[in-house]
Amino acid sequence: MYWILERKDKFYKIAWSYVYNHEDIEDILQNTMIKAYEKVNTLKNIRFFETWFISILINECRQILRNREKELLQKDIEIYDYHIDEYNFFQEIYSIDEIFREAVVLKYIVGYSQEEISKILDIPIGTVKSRIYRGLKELRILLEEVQT
Amino acid sequence: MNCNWIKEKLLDYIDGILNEDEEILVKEHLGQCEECNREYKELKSTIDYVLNNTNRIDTTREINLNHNKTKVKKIRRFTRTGLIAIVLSLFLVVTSYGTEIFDFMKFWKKSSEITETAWEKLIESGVGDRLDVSVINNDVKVTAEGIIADELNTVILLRIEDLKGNIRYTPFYGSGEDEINPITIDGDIGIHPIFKEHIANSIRLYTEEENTLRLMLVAEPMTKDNGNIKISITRLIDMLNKDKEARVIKEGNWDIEISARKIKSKQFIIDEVIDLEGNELRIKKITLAPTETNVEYEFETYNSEKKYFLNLVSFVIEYEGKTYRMSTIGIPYNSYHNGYGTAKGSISLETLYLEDPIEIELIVEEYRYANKILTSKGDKRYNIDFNNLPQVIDYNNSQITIEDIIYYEDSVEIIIKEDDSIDRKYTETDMHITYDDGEVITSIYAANIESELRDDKGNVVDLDAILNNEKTYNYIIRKKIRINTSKEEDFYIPKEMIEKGVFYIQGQRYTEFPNKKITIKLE
Repeated sequence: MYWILERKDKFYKIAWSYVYNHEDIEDILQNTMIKAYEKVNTLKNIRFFETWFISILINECRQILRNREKELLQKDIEIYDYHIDEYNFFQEIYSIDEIFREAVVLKYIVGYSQEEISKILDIPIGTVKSRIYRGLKELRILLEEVQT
Repeated sequence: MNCNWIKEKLLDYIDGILNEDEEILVKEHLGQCEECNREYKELKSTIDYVLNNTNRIDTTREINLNHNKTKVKKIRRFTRTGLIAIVLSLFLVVTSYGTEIFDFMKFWKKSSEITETAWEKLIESGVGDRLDVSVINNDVKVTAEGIIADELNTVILLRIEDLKGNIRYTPFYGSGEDEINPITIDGDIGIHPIFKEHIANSIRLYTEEENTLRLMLVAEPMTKDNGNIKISITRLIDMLNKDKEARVIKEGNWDIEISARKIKSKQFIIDEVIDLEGNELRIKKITLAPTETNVEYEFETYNSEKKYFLNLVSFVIEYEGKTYRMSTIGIPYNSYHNGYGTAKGSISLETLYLEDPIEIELIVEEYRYANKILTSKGDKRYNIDFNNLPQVIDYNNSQITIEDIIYYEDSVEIIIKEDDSIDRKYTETDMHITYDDGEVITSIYAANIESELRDDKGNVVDLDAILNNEKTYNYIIRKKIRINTSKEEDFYIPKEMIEKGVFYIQGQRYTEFPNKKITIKLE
């Protein structure tokens, strides 16, 4: 538990980039924790616990998004005045294609290295790089559109 | 120096993780190459933007984690289908106003005539094929009269004749255990993207002959440019018998096989924006096909100025003085959105295939929004004393009345009246009652039972207003929540639990008529 709370900010930001609203993030963290407890004996090298935990977390996020699509019932978000900035930022980030967005979020919002991202997403480092690059490009285009 | 090599290194350069030699090479190149330098600056500023905004994410909110909690409560929702997609099918409109048969006939004749005229015009111009393939079984003759297949729809016109009597027969689905799919389509036809099977929607068209009904079948596009289609009907019912008990049901096998060709459409990528009081409607693509004019669009659902969520945008096309409204061949479809982020949708309008325009005008006639996303989270909770009705509750400056609770043998109905003040702005309140037995959360949503069509001055108008394409608001007057209490139903709430239900209001819906216009070039 302590281990999770220590890294709560990181995990929160990852889940935020997928689902935005607090209640879903809470559900995702809860479910990730349960699954991690259940599956911890399948983990071969404890050194990779964090990247392994995050790959479960990301799967949970994707699951929630898929359910949303299925039900066409997106979870509610209450937006108060002081949250508008946060919501706008979410929309900007969320406008990036999912596979590129993941890489950008892990790199710049959460602060993982390219090697760590390569482990989390289970893709080669070259792909990590090109995804970050493409993601930033997409965001750039959007920001330009917004400014003009 | 190779610019591609530099671009590959830019991310690492910004991170400061290149080795010394590489770093010098990149730095030198950026001093000389304008293009790479611009690329670098753009990347750097985008990264800075992300890094500077990361602190906007509020991670300080408390998270309750409990590692002993391994079981999540199951959630059941009994949602009205209307929430999922608004298919403005003629029959949905008619039943929702509960009109008398006379009004219905008038409405039906007029809309059928519009559809048949549009169909004939296409067939006479050589778009699509006239057919005459028929089958007789159990004294009913089914004829395929024509087909128009394009890249958006496959539409087949059928004629169903009662050879011995004077009945207008239509395919009969039935309900409950008796429910079947009475009309199936097969062959070189695409699979429905959601249902993952062949789906044949049908629209009933009026004919003067009392023993005949025309049926327009609408299916997915064909999978080949030339192919075969099989249609099979297995059960029919007389559609206009007012007495439900006395309706005649016919079973049989009406199988028809036809060949068809797929007609190419014209597609135009568009980049036009219309401002809707803070929401930008972006027109992305227009497809001119024989069966419909399809317009793809996008908008951000949240309006940060006015703090509401846009659900639905309806527009029409004007060309050479004529207005092209919701599609008449096929299913008139428009996407409904309930969520945040970017809504990507499309609308099916009347065909402009024969007109082949190079410039059209697009007019946003109507949009609908809700004060919040209409899902269960964040709903406002009310405790109702069911032994002391009526009870008035306040929501968003409106008074909503829980009027009555009626106990039937196998169900309970709760009647709710919407705000009845004359200057009420919203059109409908979404509400539900929820039961939590510790393991399962069951929500039952209210359905509309009484509504009123009003014009923009608040006067009550009749169905003619829709036929004349006037601006009408559909104000909901009363709603009903019906709860099964019989153990024989799949989902039921025991009678003694009924009063333990918690009443929730999800939000309210609004309609606006902006009348915004833009010109779009198709080239």
